[in-house]
Amino acid sequence: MKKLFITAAACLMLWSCSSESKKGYKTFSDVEEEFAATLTANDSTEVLAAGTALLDNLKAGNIDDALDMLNSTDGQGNVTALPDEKRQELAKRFKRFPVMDYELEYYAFSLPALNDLKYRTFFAEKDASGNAPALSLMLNPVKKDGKWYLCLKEAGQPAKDAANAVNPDLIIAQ
Amino acid sequence: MRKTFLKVSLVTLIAMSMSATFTGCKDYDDDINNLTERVDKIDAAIKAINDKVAQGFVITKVEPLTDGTGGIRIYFSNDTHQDIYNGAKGEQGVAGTPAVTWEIVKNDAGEWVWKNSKDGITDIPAQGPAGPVGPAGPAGTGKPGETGEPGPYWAPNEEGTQLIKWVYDKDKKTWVKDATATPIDIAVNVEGTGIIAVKDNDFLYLHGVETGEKDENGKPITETVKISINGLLRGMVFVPDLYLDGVEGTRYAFAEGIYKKPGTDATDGTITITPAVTDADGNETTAAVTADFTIPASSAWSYVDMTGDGKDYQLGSNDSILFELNPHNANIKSAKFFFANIANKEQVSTSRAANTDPSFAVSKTNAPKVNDKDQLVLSYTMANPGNVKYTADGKNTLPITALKAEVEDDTISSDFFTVVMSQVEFTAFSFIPVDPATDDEHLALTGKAAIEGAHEIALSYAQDLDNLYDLSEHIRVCYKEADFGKNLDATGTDALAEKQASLTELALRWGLTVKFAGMPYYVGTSQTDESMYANVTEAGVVTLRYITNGAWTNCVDNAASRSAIGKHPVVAVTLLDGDKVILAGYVKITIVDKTAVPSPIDNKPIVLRSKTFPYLCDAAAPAKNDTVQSSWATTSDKVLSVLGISEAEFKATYAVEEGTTYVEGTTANTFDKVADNKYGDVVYNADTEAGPTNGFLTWTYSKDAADEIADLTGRKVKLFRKFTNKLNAQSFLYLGVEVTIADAPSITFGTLDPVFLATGKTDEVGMRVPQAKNTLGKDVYAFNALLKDYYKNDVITETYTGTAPAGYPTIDKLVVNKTYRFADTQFTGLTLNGDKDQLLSGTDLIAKINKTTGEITYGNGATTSEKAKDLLNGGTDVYNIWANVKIDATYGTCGLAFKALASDVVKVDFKKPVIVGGAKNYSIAPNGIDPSKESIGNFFTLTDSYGNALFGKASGATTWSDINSIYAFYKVESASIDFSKVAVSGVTFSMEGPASTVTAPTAATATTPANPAYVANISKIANLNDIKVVCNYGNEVLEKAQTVEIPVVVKYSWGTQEVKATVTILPFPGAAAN
Repeated sequence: MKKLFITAAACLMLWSCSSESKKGYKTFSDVEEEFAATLTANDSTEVLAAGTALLDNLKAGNIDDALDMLNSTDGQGNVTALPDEKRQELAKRFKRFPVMDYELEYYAFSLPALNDLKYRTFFAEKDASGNAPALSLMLNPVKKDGKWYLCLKEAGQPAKDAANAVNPDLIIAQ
Repeated sequence: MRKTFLKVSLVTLIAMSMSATFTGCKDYDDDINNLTERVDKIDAAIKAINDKVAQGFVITKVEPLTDGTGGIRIYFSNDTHQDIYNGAKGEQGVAGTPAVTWEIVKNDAGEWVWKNSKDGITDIPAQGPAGPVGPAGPAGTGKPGETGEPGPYWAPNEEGTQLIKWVYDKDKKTWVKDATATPIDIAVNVEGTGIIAVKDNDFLYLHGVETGEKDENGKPITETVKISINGLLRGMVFVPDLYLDGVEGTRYAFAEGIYKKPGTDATDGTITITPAVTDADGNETTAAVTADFTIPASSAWSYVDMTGDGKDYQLGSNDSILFELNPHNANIKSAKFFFANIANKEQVSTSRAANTDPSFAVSKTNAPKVNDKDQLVLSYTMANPGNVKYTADGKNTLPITALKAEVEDDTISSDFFTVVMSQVEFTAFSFIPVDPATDDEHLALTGKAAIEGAHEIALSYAQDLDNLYDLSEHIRVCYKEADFGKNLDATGTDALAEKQASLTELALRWGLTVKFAGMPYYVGTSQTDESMYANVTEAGVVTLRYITNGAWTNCVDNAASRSAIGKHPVVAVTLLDGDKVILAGYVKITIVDKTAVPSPIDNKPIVLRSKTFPYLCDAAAPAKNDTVQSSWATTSDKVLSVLGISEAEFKATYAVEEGTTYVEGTTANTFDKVADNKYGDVVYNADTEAGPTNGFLTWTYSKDAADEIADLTGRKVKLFRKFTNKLNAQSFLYLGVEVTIADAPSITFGTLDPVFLATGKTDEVGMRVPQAKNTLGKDVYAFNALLKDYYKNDVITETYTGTAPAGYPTIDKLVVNKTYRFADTQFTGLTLNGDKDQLLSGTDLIAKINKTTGEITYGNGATTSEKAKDLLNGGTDVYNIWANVKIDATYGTCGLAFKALASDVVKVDFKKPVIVGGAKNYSIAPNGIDPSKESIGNFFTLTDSYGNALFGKASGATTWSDINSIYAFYKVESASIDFSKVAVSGVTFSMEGPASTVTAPTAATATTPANPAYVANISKIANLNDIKVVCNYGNEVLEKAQTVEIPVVVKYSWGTQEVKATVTILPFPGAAAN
């Protein structure tokens, strides 16, 4: 939990201080609703389009192009290019686990720097039963200055389907 | 194909049903109860069905109930059944609500087809348990006939609401949906239909199950429940702990290191038998008693790293991961779980040696189970975890694996996931602290350090053999854990925090055991192993012993056992992986007398009583309110009962340190002496006849002590006396009281009398000169007032702000000392003198206030400065100048400051004594013969601050007179007119009057400036008539009237005011005719 607040606290507090809460405190669910109110259908479209483009690149074997679409974030909403070392690691991984096919699992918006965009990627051909080994690819889209950036979900970032998901009733601000 | 599955919980819908709307005239509460009851029963039925399937029983048949409830009866393979229906059991079902069932049966031709309870057997082909029967092949020609192509069949869609047609694609060699075939609706729940059940080879779909909600028309909302009929596991969905580099994963702890072996050297040192005794100032009064000791090499008094083969260890923890099951009632007992090989082993493993492959294995000791969320809890461990730990630069290696399950003839696999390696290092054994807020104290790392160290466990020789001391209950293991690439050896701000694991956790999670054993050593020339004085079982239970006649005997509460007092057995504690040592620690026991055993409250702050005191100069009466006293009863409860001794034994065992009081130190369980006892003394009543209600410790209020305490955080202090155990110089009790000094009270001076308040104001009043005809003998220069006179009954009455603070006397007994001054914020441009009792403009006095009486005076009487007069006469008609008057207050004979004062500033407006007004629309009409001569009184008005005219014309009179007889009071002096400022055409103005009443304009001289104005002496009211403003026509002809403004400056006792008289000069009436 400490890691959550190290990586997401700044974004949480910045977002949560924007308005008074009638009940005298603000929960994570309240903050999510506030962020959601700023989003439009264009945001979903943009995020999904970016995710699709990334996965299509991987599926086509264009690993470098796909890595060009990925960024790093410090969890406070700042976005930078992927470091070279990380690029090399990811390139190795995508070579070892190529994307033969993929499907969108879910996406969810929480905060400008904390969101979920999850895909199932299949790294081998489907067998006669239609089964193929799958590996998740969870992205953490970050909205910065009105633009969306794709980042990988990291250990300090909660995800809604993981055990480290934030409790919606968690009080963020008083 | 991964299958999604429905996971419906009707229980959660109960809350939703509470907001449902109801029609009709039923009682609202009854409707809620009925709905709740119905949903509860449906939910219970579904749970019972799922539980049966999860236990391994298969749903074999479904058929509609004929009792009119519209329900379904579900049969299981153990000949039991479960009914499920909408509505509470026993209710008469609504007529015409039959249930409908669909199931797969064999027709007379031996073909698998669909049958429903309404229409019977249909000709819709179905997929039987062994697949559809294909059509017969062509007649043979002597050779065996070819197998026919599989025929089409219909099967429920994912939701079980329609039958979809499947056909065999011989090219793809697989079944595909026939997109041209129209699906058959099988779950059409029309009004009057009960539950519809559709059972195929894998699932039972229940449609039309009430949820407890109703739609806007009041009709029940229903849903579909999908149940696996045989609990056959079809899928597992990994539930991640976290994501790393976008891959879902779980944390896994492992440890690696080098096993230990006993050192091979003997050693010696010095042991303290009894410690030194020091006085309150730290001076030694009794020297320590020491002795030499020796430890033979065979004692295993220390452990060193093993060398050679087998020295290294990698320990995988027993951890668990969660999976969602498909179906959620899957019977896991029939599944055999195992892990896939690490898919990227060649990328992540650092070892290529044989038998060193990292791999995951399902736990052999903890069987897979299902938790209350219907999730699979799979316990597992990992072999050779260190070979997939972090890279040299601390990067995660992301080993990828998946969980597989063999189910009948199939193998199910979860998606692949990663394991985030978290390396653990066991650092030391530690004592579990009594206070969870304090840090653990590590055990000594060697036996020698334990012997020589100060830490020891004191055990009384008078042990209870039925309740022996168990060392294992007081010890745990400290460790560090590094994940996400952190460094175990990091220092400074990056240093990892130490964590603790209980011995139970070590066993369950790591499979490690802890063993206890005495460590032999010898003190002085004794041939007896000191550690023999304690028999320690491998589990850690300690039995103290003494030796008599060469035999060891367990200590009990008798004189013979006292011979064990002063002995120091040492216990070695080892953390074992099998029989190999990972960690070692040592504990020194000291056998002490009964009353010398350090108590659980040793060196701990024990507050026996707390009290809050009002902050006063003197103690509040009556006298008992000025003390906080703990009684012997409280002492008995918090001290004697804990120590297990009587009052007499306490007095015999403990001695109070005279003359000193203590406060808590900056670290836990430390205490600092209070310099000069500045927080007051805590008196110990050692009265030998003290009874349960008599005082034990008493603190008495004093102003000086209260001042010191009020400066502390929270205005409170815990003050202790130190009691030393006479039998154990290291055993101290700190007993005391907590004293809080309440905040000073806040008061308000209440509201001003409303009759004085300026309109719309709550803190603003006006001040004026006296009435002209006052009987107090005051002249016009008595411009003053007492602040208190603006309050009701001429008294400023203070009250406590809000609720009266506890402990403080009533306000009338508080002794409030008031003083008055000018507030710091004042009229722009004005300043205050040092005492804040004068309002200044530069060096000119504007107003003053008497600090004691609160009398406010404007100016300085007849010698008021011109500046003060200018300020008074400037601005609006009513007033221009004001002052903020402040009430200051303290309380008590020593003048304590209040916490806050309210309503302590009053704004006083200084009213103009006389208001001069210019004539409005006064006309001058010349007669063409003589210049117009107008009385000067026509050009202005004078009104006092009470609204009274200083002069006017009596009824029917044509001249000005002192109609109110107040003219002389205001000491009017002159009226000046500078006609050179009058812009006029065709006429000229001048002034004339009786001798010495008018001073004409003068030109500048060498010593005096020019005075362009006529100055009329109007100190006598007659002069208002006698002095004339003369208007001479020029030779020009005025054809039209013109209006001019004539500036008039009137001077009186309190200064001058300039106004403009608006005058219209009319043309001569007959001029136009010529």
